[in-house]
Amino acid sequence: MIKAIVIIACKLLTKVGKMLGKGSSLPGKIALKICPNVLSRIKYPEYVIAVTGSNGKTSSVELMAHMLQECGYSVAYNKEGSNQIEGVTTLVLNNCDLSGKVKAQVLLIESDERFARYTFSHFAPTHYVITNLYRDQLSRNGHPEMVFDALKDSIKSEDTTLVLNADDPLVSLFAKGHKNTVWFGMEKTEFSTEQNNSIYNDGAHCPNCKEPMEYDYYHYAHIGSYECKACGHKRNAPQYSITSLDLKEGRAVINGEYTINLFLKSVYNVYNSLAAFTVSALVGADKKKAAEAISNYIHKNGRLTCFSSGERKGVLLTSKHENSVSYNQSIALATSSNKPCTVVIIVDAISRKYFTGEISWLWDIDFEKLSSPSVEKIILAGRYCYDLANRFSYTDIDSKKIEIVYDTADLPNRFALGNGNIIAITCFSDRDKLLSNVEVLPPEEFVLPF
Amino acid sequence: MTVKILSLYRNLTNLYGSDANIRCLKKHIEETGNACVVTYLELGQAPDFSEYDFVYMGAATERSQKRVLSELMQYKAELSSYIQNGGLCLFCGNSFELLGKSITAIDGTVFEALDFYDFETVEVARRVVVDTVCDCRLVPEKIVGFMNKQSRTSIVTNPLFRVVKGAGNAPDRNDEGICDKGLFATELSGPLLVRNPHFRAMLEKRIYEKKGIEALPLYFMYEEKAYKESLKGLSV
Repeated sequence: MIKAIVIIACKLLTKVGKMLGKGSSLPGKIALKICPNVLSRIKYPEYVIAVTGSNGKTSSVELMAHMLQECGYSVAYNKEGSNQIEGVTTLVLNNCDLSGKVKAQVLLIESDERFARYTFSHFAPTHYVITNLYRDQLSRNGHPEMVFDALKDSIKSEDTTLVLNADDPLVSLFAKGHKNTVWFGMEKTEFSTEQNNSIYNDGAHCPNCKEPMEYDYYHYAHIGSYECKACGHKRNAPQYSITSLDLKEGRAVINGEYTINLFLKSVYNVYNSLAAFTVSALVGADKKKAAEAISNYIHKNGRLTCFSSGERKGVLLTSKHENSVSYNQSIALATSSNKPCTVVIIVDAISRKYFTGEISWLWDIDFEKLSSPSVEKIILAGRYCYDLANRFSYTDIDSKKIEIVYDTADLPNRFALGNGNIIAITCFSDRDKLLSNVEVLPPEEFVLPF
Repeated sequence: MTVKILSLYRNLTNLYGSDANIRCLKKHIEETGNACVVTYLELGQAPDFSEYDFVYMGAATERSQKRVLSELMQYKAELSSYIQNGGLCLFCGNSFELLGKSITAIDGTVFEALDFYDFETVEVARRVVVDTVCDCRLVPEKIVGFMNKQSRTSIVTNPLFRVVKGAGNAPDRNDEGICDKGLFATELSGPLLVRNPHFRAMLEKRIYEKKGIEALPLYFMYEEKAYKESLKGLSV
């Protein structure tokens, strides 16, 4: 009885919340207050898929939902990205009938890394996807090994099938002692390198025993094919793998057979598509159809936004402050074309949730790679523009190319003085400081400069 | 003249911009017209500390810290005599903890440490992640930094900093790090020398004095502005 009341309350609160423009975690929070174990009392569908990791959670979940829906499955997922236990509770209860049975065939849950252990103490996912573990939000998360420990605590059932990125040595450690693991990964491509070409190398030492680790190749950061000769920890052969990648044409082939056309031509995004494909295959979807469903797919999560400012066209690559891999990903895209462009980097509020002046992550980003000749100008904007300028003084980039803008409201005036595409790199916490000063284009008018 | 820097186990102790401290020092030394050579020591290599003008170690994860500790224990006597002879060195992040008597891990395992100083560190469940502002008797300007640790350290008699805001060696005290002769150690992690140009200049000056180089530390264009902005943001 109480279960039905909680479900009704959650649904009503969500409706009211929507009218008031509130987020999706409050109804779940209230539901958990009334009935703390409500998540244990739900009848879950055959497929409960959890997705976590440092980067690519939201994008992967969106791709999975789209893929599965196109293949004829009904899917419930946390569209708004509320990924702590409260948001997950809202998602689950809103998709239940009054008997407490989830109505969708597939329940797809994006989960926060550190809070997953609370969510999954009430129920276990059938499939648990872990995308990667990077240096991320250190002012909250400490460091990746701490996140590893927190996530390890969230794997509570032997029956859960882990779906792991074989190319990430830290993520691969989750399989140690676990019964069922499915691996996804990328084979060597023409973009793979023998050396790690970044400022830091978190793959230099084995995450298991800390002895030096050897790599056959790196895709980026510590992602690649590794082996520790001391303890034997090594990359597992993936069941689902990118067997060829053409970034120029924007084409990736999975298992030598299924071709995906990439809207965003970046090695990082390929992993999201691959994770989504793997999940679809595990659910039993038609693989050919699944691959077709995400070909040229444009994400709806707004991470990629095109805009115009006067005569100039621009694209915003929403990245994550305090996450060097996310920035490196955007830098790789910005330098992937030889069309002249201006790159704008905005660091004004490091987090949207709390204040921190922690800028160490600026020293983990490969800004050196913006020395590409197509980048004609670099604008460093926001409260931390001087920290950025200082960081850039350590690169070989000509200081004449660099402009410093403290007040982000001045950006349109600066744009008016130049020409070529504008590529903006910033975080959720700062993106509106750009978007409120330019004209945002609808997705059907998106044209990418790379 | 050439300033020789030894950076210890960079790949294990380069958490969050730690290596920027060495980049910063090197660039500043070179700006004065002197040369600077950085040697990166890896596991399995035996260091000869006496060859160097400056020794550095950055922040590690708890697991990496234990690996580095077991490595460094082999060279305890050599490092001790380097420090006793007034050798200049900077230990940042949890590499500071190595200098005490022991580190007790969260599971209760006690790791014997270098025992250069009379303090002990105990790892705790709750991580401290906080912007931190300190006073330092070696420079008039305040120090800005970030504390990212999961431990508490017993009281030290000669701390490097006094915490004004944020966290120090333990949550209920204001002592932070340790300072002795040419040794500077702070648990603050990240690019400390980049963020604190005055503290960096003080260290740089010590290097020049010790080596007999006639040079004055320089300040780069944006360092002071970035520093002021940091302080302003932390409202102190």
